[in-house]
Amino acid sequence: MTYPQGVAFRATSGYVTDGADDWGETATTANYPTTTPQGNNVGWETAPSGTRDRDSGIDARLAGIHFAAFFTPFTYRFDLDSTGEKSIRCAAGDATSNNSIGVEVFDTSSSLGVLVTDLFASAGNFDDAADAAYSAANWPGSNSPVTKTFTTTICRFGCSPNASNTYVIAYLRVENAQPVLNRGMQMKSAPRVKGKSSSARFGETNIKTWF
Amino acid sequence: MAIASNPMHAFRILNQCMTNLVQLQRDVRSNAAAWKSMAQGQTQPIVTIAGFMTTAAAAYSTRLGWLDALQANTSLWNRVRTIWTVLGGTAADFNDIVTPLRAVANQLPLADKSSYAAIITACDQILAAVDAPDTLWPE
Repeated sequence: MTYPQGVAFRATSGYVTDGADDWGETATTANYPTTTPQGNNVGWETAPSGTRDRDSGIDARLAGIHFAAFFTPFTYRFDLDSTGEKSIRCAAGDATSNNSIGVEVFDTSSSLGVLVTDLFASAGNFDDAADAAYSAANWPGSNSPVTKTFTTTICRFGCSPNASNTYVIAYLRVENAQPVLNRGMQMKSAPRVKGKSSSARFGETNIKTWF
Repeated sequence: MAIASNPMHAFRILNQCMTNLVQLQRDVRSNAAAWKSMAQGQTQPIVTIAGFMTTAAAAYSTRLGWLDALQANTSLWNRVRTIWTVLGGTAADFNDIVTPLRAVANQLPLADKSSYAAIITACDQILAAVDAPDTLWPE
């Protein structure tokens, strides 16, 4: 296996052209394991409710969605090439419709935190892995990764719809984190706190700028 | 209270075997088509495509290895085979799918991938060796 691996969710494989590290996921069935052209095993462990192509004129990673509706959770799995620190990016949103979003990441079954807070998002906005919203035009150049440490080689992204709304996901990407040279200063100044508290997100924001 | 493994659990394993093998058959073909398209369009560097092919071969071997592990577990494998037999299948059905897929997984790392033309040739060989699985919907 080799990383990075990006997964762009949409209905039709040829709707847009993927980047070198990306693959278009079109399945609406539980299709794990699927081996991508990049050589990684990924796939839905619980099937989403459906998929849509949305806009082929924007960044290919944001062109479509998969969605889950009415309390039906979805889980998407990446088999990692190793344990350790992984850099994660995501785009949670829908180019053309108002829909709910919410993404949590797991190390096998242990939560590593919520990436995207559960909320009802406006059409054309995409939340990144640091839970910041960007327009479709700004997400490609402005979205930030978060770094998570995995003790297993199973990375799962989950969404548990808790209301009678439709939850959407456009893009997920996992790659091996770059070595951090100033880790000592980072730990003194902004200790990383797991969870969803405001202090945890403040810390992640600071860490991001030092990268 | 412990739950003893029963035919339902063996049937789950059988389902996972079917999902894994038939989807691997599909993936081997779709990835070969993807790499061929990259090579024909020269949209990625040769070394990048070659890297994808080599690492995918490892992923294929991982998935085939799950079946090897099952078959090495004689007790569980026999229970899975029993259910498969009830459905009208034979052990040869597994081999009929595994053999060409394993050939791809073993030969792909060694294949000539030094040029776009060589990559296209390797992909054509895969596409000729592995048929598309039957499917209810377009894939």
